Amino acid sequence: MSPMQVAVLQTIVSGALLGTLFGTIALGVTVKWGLLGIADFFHVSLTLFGAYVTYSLVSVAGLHPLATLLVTVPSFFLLGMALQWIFVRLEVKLFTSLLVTFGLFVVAESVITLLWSADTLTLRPVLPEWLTAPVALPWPLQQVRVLPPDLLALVAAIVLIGTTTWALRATRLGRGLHAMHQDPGIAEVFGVRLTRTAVLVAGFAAGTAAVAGMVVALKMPLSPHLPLHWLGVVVVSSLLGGLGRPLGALIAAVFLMIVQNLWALFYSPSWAPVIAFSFLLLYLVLQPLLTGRGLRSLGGAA
Amino acid sequence: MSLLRCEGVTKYFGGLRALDGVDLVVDPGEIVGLVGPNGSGKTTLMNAISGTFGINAGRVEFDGTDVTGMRPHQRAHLGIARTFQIPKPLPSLSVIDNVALAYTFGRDQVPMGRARQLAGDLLAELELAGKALAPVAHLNLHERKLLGIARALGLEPRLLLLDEVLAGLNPTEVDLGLAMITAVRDRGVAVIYIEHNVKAVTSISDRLYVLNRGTNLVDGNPRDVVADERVVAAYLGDAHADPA
Ligand SMILES: Nc1ncnc2c1ncn2[C@@H]1O[C@H](COP(=O)(O)OP(=O)(O)O)[C@@H](O)[C@H]1O
Ligand SMILES: [Mg+2]
Repeated sequence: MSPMQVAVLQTIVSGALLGTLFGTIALGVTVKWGLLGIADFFHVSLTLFGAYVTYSLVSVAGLHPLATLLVTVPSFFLLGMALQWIFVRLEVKLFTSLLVTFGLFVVAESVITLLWSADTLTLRPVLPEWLTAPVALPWPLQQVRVLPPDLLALVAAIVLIGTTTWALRATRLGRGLHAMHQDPGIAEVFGVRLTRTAVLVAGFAAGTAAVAGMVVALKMPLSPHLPLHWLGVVVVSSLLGGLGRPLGALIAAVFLMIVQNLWALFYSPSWAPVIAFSFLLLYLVLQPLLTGRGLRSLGGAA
Repeated sequence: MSLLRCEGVTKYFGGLRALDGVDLVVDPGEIVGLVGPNGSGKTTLMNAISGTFGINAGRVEFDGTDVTGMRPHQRAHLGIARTFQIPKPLPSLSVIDNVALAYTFGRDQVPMGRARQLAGDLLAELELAGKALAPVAHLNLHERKLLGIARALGLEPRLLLLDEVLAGLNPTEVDLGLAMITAVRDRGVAVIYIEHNVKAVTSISDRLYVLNRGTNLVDGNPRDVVADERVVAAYLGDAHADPA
């Protein structure tokens, strides 16, 4: 292969793997937005918060990176449930949720700065070699290198999005959630516990933020303003993938990151972040024409 | 002991008194007819019993338990099931999955696979098996009403609230429907049957209540009730009614 071909392949593979991380972050956003009617920007902050907690558990408490999940997932689950319980009590609707979680999003940056400082923190020096050394892909892509945390991102995405997609179809909770999303009044008359369903789903979403946070901590240097850079991709993937459809969000995120990385390879990298929003604008313009549904679909998927 | 006891049930919508101190008693395994002119509060009473909204005064007791403050899902788990005057199936689920939903989340919390089997059996009994896998959008009015009943039965209720389930159906369908309601009663399920068609409801009810402007007008043996002059007067005052 020519060096150019290798560079393009490398860019595509790295972009796709970064996309799986954003797909995992978008999982919580798309499920809550599409099926609970909560547009949760704070979910992105929660992911970074998970990354910082992972950082401290590994670098200060000396935990194995994967073992941190035993601490972070349950505690985030509880946090997510508590927050949703308050939302249910306050009868928070879609638009209010947008304002409230955006407020929390802003506050979270300050809180993280306060707790961990505004300096960049990285786990790299303390990580074992098997988590930092690049590995070559098998033939015929042997010239392409990937980093272990990127593979971890892929595994996390497959496991979490696979499980969620299955659970939405095949479990009581998933069935109850769909029923509640379509008609809460009917769902309740047929025995679905609305508050419990919403609270469990939000807890699960927060748990996935803890997992994504661990991948982030292993993959990149941490700084408090990261969520601002992620928000665009996460929200656009959720919308492009069809709200309430985790697999759609994953595919959209992978696609967006491949395009964005290729753009950065050939043109000015400073324009790369515009890609996601260009696709969103294109989608918003074309979607009403294609489906005749108009912007109402922002209220959630069926 | 009676299965359901409503005492002084009162409900306001803004300034409108939809129900004003209504009393109603249902014993296990009986069909209680509930009639009254349009807007007399029949559907509102059903909502008060199933818990769709809270009431302003009075109390609802089911099987000796005060359910007045309970959520609809709690009442469903105790054994109260209902249909809706306008059938409201969940559009994204197939016919069988609409029924299975009730088994899954109902009194016995049946696992999903088993719930689907039970739902299939029930649909076969109601002669809807042919449409089991169809989307609900493919059902006609008669079938949608049957689905509403099937879904309510999926909760394995002890009290079934039927809100004008036979309205808009042709005479043959009405006769089949009446036979079905009687069969449900014969399985030991108590039924409150709201109907605009007085003749239909009289033919199968064990007892009959008449509401008028949100209050009890008359109740008792169906034949005596329909002959009561207050009932005749109430219906004559209602241009839409069809007392024949
Ligand atoms: N959700 C509601 N909001 C406001 N008014 C209502 C509502 N439901 C019923 N009503 C009013 O309460 C009265 C009784 O209605 P309803 O119980 O539907 O009567 P029926 O079922 O006997 O025809 C009517 O005047 C109706 O307009
Ligand atoms: Mg009515």
